Amino acid sequence: MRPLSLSILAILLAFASPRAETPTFGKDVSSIIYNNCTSCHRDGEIGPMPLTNYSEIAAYADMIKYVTETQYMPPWKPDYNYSQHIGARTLTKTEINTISNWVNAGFPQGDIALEAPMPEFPTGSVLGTPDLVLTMAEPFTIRGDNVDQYQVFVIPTHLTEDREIEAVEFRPGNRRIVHHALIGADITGTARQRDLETPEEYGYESFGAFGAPTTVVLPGYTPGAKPSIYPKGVGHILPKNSDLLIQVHYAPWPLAESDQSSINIFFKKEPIEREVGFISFAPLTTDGETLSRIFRVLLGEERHGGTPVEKIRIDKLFVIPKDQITTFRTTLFIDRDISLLSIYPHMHLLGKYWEVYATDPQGNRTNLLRIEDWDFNWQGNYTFTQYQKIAAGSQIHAITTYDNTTNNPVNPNYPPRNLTWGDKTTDEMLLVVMEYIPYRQGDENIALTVGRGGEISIDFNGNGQRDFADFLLFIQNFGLNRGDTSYQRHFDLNGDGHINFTDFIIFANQYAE
Amino acid sequence: MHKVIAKIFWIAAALFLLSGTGLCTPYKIYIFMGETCPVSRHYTLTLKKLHTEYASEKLEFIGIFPNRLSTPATIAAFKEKYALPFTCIGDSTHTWVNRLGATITPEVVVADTSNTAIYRGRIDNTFADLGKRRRVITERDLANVLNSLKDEKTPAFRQTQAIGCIITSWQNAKQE
Repeated sequence: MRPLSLSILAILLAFASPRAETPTFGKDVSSIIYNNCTSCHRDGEIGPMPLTNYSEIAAYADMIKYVTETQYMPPWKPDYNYSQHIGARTLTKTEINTISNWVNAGFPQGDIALEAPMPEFPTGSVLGTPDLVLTMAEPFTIRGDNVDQYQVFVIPTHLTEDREIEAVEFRPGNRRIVHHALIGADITGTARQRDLETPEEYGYESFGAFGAPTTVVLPGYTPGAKPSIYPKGVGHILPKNSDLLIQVHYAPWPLAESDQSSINIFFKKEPIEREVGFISFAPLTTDGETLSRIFRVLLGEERHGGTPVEKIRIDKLFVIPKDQITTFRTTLFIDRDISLLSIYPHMHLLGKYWEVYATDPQGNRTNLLRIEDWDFNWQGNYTFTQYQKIAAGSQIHAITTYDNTTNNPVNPNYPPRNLTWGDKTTDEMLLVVMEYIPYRQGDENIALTVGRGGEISIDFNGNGQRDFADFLLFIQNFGLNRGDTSYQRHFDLNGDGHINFTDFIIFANQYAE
Repeated sequence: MHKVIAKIFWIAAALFLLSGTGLCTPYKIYIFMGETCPVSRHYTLTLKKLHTEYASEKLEFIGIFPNRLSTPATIAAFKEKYALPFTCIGDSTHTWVNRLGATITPEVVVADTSNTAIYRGRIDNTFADLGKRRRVITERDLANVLNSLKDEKTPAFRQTQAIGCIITSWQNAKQE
């Protein structure tokens, strides 16, 4: 997609320079770190060491080289070359090499006048003024014994009517200890009841999920992620009188600190035409139905006239024998045209590998998600950069591998034990929840975006207007990829590292508004 | 007579000094730590427990902070926040890092009475890799060494790979 002239220019430049120049902090490294690391690595955020200036970054130079080369950081588990999801936190090979060469060369500071500007990190909501703010009723204090805690908090919405939701934004109260959060809504009062059963503490402990039925699972939170906004005419319905459930994962911490998080809710400005529904599978027995059906009922399978899942198959009983590596193959049969928005894969500590893809009746394949090195602590809900059309008669395949040997360092049992489905740390799961809507012609061309307001603006020259000058600027930058010297993030509207046709669609939509 | 007293005094003093250096100088447990290193932070609880159990006149714990940006103030703040019960010193010039061969925080070096290392490496095997935290700890390397010393046995030198934050080497740094 890169214009030919630009490629020729790049080749000419490559020949023109006699040898690769040593990268410097000012010219090369500052922009990589500031734009990819500093949003979490600054005071009061989850990233432990601040990386906000040359001396802080140089002091950790060898570590930064190591964690970027091994791709431990930035934390992003899905294979980016397999399928694209919004908000991917990845560095390009060029960026990784730049850091590595810079450290090998003794991490020179270089010309500080060339240092990249620090991005503006919002102190409040990144989406604007919320329509409803729901806050934990009281602070929750963690035990501070270096053990992870998974606590569910029940927050009544007090809604007197169903409301249509455009976006949900989780705001951690204590960003040092809040690792991630899952959000759902309960209309049965089950979670409220569970909370009452543990009067000695606020909320209740639940590792596997919410420990209560949920009618809606809303986009959750992971550090560095930005809230996603449902496109025009598409959204969730938050039922009246529902309780919002948040399951917060508190990272292992040696001190008893407390947290009081909140959730910003943004209502739809125009009515929803297509409510987001859920496809889920949780195969336990080989017909795949036993648990899957329970999940489907909980997630409202009556939406859109019943679930589009015709049937589910798994190649064997969901039992993970000790001292073995076991792979399960699950297949969902889809009976009508749908568009997928997101995928949330879930397994516990034995989990190693995920691969989810669809095949249509003609045999065409659509990759949805691959995670080579599953890490329970970095689970998330992944929104596709574009709607993924799944045609009637397609199959969605999931391949999942579990390592129940002593070679798996996070195996919760030592020595290993036979495991099957369950809620506890020492149990396992195989669960996928996908958001979908009924397919409409042209869906596959609609890009899903992150953020709003300050986050996505096509007013590139900042004159307060979206005009032709912005269009020209966009065209000039079209075709650039992250890692290119002149790449600027604000032209990359969906933040996927490529300024391409998807961004053009977003640009055009914003321009037309 | 005065000369005899003086002789006795000097002999006594020499014996005292000898016994001091030869017998009473404690084993040293040097712990390299980083104020902003999450793995160092994680191990503060373990170190406090080990200190309570093993620290004595013969086993002295010393925290060493090799980060370039460590200052007496940052070290004091860390020591206070995590209530570390042992002496903590700065080493931003890497005198101790080079002398004891540490490369990671947290990493421990246990040195005998002649200041020779008898153990270098991890505290235990909690971390299989960065971010890979065992649910069940199976190797308690430092505790094992300390147990031997407590039983007045000096174990043979052993080294393990510490997992944590790499100590940035400033030898090749180009300061422009």
